[in-house]
Amino acid sequence: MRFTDEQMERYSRHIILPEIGGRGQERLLAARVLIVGAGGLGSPAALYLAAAGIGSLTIIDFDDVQIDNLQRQIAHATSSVGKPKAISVRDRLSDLNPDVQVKGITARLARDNILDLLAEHDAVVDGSDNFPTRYLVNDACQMTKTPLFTGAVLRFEGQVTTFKMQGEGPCYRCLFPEPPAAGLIPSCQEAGILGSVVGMIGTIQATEVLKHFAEIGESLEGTLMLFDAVSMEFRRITVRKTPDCPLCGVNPRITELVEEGQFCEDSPQ
Amino acid sequence: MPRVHLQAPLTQATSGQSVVEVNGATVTELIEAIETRFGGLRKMIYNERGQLHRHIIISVNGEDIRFLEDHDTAVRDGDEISILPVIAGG
Repeated sequence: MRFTDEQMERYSRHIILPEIGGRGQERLLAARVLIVGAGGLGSPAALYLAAAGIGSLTIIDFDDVQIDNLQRQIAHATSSVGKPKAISVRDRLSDLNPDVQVKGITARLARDNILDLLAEHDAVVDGSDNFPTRYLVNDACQMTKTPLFTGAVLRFEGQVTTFKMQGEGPCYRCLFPEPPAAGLIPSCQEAGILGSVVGMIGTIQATEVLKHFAEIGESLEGTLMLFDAVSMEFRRITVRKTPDCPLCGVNPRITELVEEGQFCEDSPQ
Repeated sequence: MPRVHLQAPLTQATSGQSVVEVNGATVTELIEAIETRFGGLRKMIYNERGQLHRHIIISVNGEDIRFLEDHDTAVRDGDEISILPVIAGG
């Protein structure tokens, strides 16, 4: 493709990097990414991916912007309170970078719509805030071999990793085979979250996506990165494909899409 | 002593401490030592049959104990142990 003068200028800090160059920027502009959840993780991930010129971004979230979201969900504004989050983020991203085809879908991601959405995208960023969605996203990505860039937060801590879903790579259920029973693990609404921690984790997810499409360096595949803001430490745990994984193991229990685990009340996507 | 890192909400079982240093030669002994000092961790990480919940990971020096000697994995001074749950905040 040929860049316009404006694109040469807009993406000049990428293009000047030998690891990206014009070819890498072209690959970013050709990429189609689905972002699940327009919340704390989805906000920074969507902003950086749109700014970087990911060609097509879809954001799905069924909830409306509330004032208690604004402490951390930086894609929204006070003037957006009451608006559907997917629409609020769509408008923000379109304003940030008109190169990007942005779609906002106000719906809950579920068994009946996820496969159609995955068919139209090359990768998924999971920024959802509940277990049924997280396990559904993993299962659908694993079944369709769609790369999944996942992050999660609670209180002062975050977890982030990448599942490329190719060859002998692991999936989320290799790491955490089953969701917890109701009430065992609290949500951010119940336990709190330091606002900037979602930014740290969401931008790591975005960085992984950009490296994936620009074909740069080492990914987090095979590594669960843990972040603790209190001690300001990152630690790593090796993630391996597990023979008894209920999804991709030797004798899988799960052979079709399921929605398992408990939604918390008032859970945005 | 080995250092045990716990991630929220498991720190509810250690008076809010995210790092605990305890004596023990195996993973089982470390967990018993934490249980004795604080009380409440076993109930958070094991099911009624005494098996580790399938949403909890224990690692020794970054390696999941399912790929080591499970709860019999040996630990020594300076080892870093992590006990963490799946979390879903977004």
